[in-house]
Amino acid sequence: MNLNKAFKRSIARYLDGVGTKEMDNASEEPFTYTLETLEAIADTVLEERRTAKKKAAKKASRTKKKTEESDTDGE
Amino acid sequence: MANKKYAAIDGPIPGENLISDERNYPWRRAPDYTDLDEAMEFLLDTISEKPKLFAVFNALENEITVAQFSQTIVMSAMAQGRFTLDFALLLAGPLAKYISILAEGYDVDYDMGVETEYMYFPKELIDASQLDFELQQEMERTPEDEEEDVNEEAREGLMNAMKDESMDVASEEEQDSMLGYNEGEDEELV
Repeated sequence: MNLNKAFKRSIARYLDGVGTKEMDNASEEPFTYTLETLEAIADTVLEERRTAKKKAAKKASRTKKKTEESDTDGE
Repeated sequence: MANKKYAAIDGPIPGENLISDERNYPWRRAPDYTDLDEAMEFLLDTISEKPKLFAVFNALENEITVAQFSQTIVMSAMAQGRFTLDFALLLAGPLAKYISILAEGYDVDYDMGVETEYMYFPKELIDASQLDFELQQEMERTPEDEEEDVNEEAREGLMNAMKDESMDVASEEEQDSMLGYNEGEDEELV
C-alpha cells in the first residue's frame, strides 16, 4: 500500500473511533489520547487565547469609554 | 547547463551505496520513544509552541490538508529517530485531530483531507466475502462449462488423430507389402 494512503487510512480510522480500540488491543495499557482527552487538552491550550481575547475586549471598551468621557469634557 | 555537468561529476559512483556507512542514521538506531503516550506527548509539546502553531495555521490557510501536515510532522520526527514508522502511522490520527481542534479554536479554515465516514471491515469479514464471491463465480460458471464444445475436434491438430488407440493399425506384413518388400523377391536376388 502507498504510504500516503496508509496515513490517510490510519487518520480516518482514528477519527471513526476504530484506531483507538486497535491501539488498546495492541498495547498493555490503554491509549490515553482518545478523542475526548484530546479535546480537553486543546481546550486548555485555547483557554489562554480566550482569556487574552476577553482582556483585549475589556481594554478596548475601557479606552472607548475614556475617549468618550474626554470628548464630553472638552465640549 | 554547466551546473548540471558539474552535478553529474559530483554524483555517487555506481555501487557507492553498498560501501557507505548507514548505521549511524537516526532511524537506524533505537527510537527515543517506545511508549505511544510518551511519543504523543512529545508531538503535542512540539505542536503547541506558539511559533510552530502559527506556522501550522499558515499552512492550513494555504490549502494544505490536516492529513498531509500531520503526516509531514510525524515523518520528520521519525527521521530524527524519535519513534518508529509504526508509531508514526498510529500517531498520525491523534495528531490530525488535535490540529483540527486547535484550528477550530483559532477560527482557521481547514480541510481534513480524509473521508471521515471511513468504513472499517475486519479481515475475517473480507476473507469470508472473498470466499463467498469465489463460490458465486463457480456457481455461475458451471452451466457454461457443462455445454458441449462443438469445435473441440477442429481445434486439435491433425496428428492428434494418430494418438487415438481405437483406430485400426495395419499389421507388419501389410505394412511391408504397402512399402514394396516381398519375401519372394528377396530370395530371387540371393
